[in-house]
Amino acid sequence: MGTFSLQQIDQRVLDALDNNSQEFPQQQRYAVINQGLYRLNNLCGFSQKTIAVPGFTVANQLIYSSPTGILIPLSVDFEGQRLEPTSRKRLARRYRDFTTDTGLPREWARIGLSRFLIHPADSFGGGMLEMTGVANLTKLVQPGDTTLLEDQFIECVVLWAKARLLLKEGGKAFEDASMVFQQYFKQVKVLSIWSDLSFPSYWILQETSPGDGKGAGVEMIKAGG
Amino acid sequence: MPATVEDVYSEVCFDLLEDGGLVLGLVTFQQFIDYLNLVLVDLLKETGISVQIFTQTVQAGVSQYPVPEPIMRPDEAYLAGTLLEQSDVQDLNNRFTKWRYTPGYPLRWHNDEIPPQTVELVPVPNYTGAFIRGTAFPDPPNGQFGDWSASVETAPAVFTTESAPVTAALTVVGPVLPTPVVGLGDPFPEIADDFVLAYVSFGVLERIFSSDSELKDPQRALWARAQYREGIAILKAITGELGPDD
Repeated sequence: MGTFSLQQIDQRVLDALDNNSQEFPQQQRYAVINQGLYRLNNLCGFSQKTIAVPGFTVANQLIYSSPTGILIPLSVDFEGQRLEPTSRKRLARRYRDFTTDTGLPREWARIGLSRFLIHPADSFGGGMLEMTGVANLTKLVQPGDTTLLEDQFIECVVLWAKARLLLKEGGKAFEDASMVFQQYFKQVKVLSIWSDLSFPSYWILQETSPGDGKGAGVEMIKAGG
Repeated sequence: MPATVEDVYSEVCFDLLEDGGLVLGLVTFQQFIDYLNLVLVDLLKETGISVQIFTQTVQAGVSQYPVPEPIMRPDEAYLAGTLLEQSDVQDLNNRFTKWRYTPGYPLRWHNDEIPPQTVELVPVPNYTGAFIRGTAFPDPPNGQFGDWSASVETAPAVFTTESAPVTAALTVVGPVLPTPVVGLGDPFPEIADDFVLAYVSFGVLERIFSSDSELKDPQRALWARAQYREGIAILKAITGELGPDD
């Protein structure tokens, strides 16, 4: 784990691009680095926070808003006790009157990402609800702005940023850079916090000629996912 | 400052080598806006990260109820706070005779073979629930957003919030239809900034590089698609990790 400044990450990206700062201006590199960090955070959840739901529970209130700053809710605690995650349909099938049940909250279910419900609704009110989740990342703007990350995460960001910046080039240069997608996927798969995640496939189009024994045309080769 | 259309626009312009804005005419600004709106609808429809709840009055003898516009499609229906199982016309025909005409307490719902944005309760309701006044009464939508419970008129000019069993109302739950964006300063109210800035531009680029135009580039379209689909996959995985909705 180390502290990396935007300038340090940028230098690694620039190295990967043969120091071509003219074609890839600083503003674009910074934007792509931030984009890479957002993506990696959504995948790997390296920035997690526990934030109290504003105010306390209200007696018999079912639905609450996720606190600002939580991007992906992961767990909810009521008075320091972890609630069991479930889904609306599961709750509705198990408890016929789940919308009006009251008592000591035991479960929670999301309603999108910005709201959630607790079951049963707190019958007394005044309880403390806390949500833990993947938190929004603060955008790195100035060269001296820093982020606390493991080196392997930085490696992923650099790999991805290179292909991302070369997207505008198209052609062979982009195709070659996009091949690192496979390498990126391999690294990220290990780091991802989502066990159910199935990575999308990425294919390279390759021209074939009659000499290959495949006839003239285009062949798709799986490059990642 | 929240993410705006301009953030996505400047990214797309950079990738199309038109850093100053779309002026070459290969893709027009309006095309960009159209693609962006398509991507936003696709993202919210596939992932359900933004969900709305709508509760409306049930009337005796009326089986079909509208699903108001902010809800893209009904995913769940509840009656008096109790889940109704989804069905379809074929299943209903096989199970029940004259189900469209037989009154009773509704146990199922379906939304096929009826007008879009409508749900039909089966059997036809044999009761009228408490009257729920819409915010724009008498104009539709006649119902209230946000909860299974609703505010009802208990005496002239007296409104109280009553729970689902008391109102005996119909509640539909579904993903939100995003507000269409039109200008560079428009925000994305339904989607968190980190998702917008990380994935949405790739959905737009995939469509541009796949379009029948001078910018057609299958390889770049495939790459942009992979980036966009990664976002969809993560958001779907979140749903899975927290318990599938069925």
